[in-house]
Amino acid sequence: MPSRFVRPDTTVLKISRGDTLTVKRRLTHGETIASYARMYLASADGQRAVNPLQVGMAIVTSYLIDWSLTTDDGVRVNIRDVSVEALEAILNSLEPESFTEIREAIQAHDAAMQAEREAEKNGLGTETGSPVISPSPSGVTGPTSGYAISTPTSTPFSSTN
Amino acid sequence: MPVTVRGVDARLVWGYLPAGTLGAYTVTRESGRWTLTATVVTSDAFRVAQHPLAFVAPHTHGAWRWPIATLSIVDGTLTASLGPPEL
Repeated sequence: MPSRFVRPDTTVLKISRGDTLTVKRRLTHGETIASYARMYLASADGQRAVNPLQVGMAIVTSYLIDWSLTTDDGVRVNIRDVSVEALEAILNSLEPESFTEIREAIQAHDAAMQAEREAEKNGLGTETGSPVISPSPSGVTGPTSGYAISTPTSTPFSSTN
Repeated sequence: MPVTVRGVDARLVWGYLPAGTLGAYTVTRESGRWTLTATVVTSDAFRVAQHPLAFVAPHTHGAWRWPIATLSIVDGTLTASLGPPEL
């Protein structure tokens, strides 16, 4: 029986141009709440409403841990351990198509993780915990927006306890 | 030959998850064994009890990282035995 606590496992998502994204396999409750907080706006009457312009950014900053993206000089752009605000600033410097590709890859990963959790709740989960991830996700078209999700890893830690 | 690394502002991590923040710390290698003593600023009781934990000490060009083999926190002071630093 798997624990109810989220282990800090990661998965590598492959995107176009040979780049990769290292993302959290699953979000904790705290990370989920923080993600929601970043996508909501407080209106004048004190009510909160989703800011559709921030939904994509919120999910990307929640999941993204590292990547292989480089500058024109080939220098890797460091995003590991940077603050959410710093990560948002770096992401905002991307060309729009690249951000969209990253967002779509991470949203597909998020959907796959939700499907995996539903399968577990329904007793359909696998003992190995393999994610329910389609190798050819739908809804993504165009030569620069293709991606694939590699075999799940638990880097940097894979031991059990 | 003994090696000592002193600093302030380091952290404990469980995978990518923060498990605690440390103030002044001292890492020592003596007879091939690495040990850590540090002041605990904050700690997540659940995550600190998980395995594997690592100690991460930032420096100018990145961070040093050691796996934590054993750890205890008493009265705000952390004492740990470390594995070899991860390069």
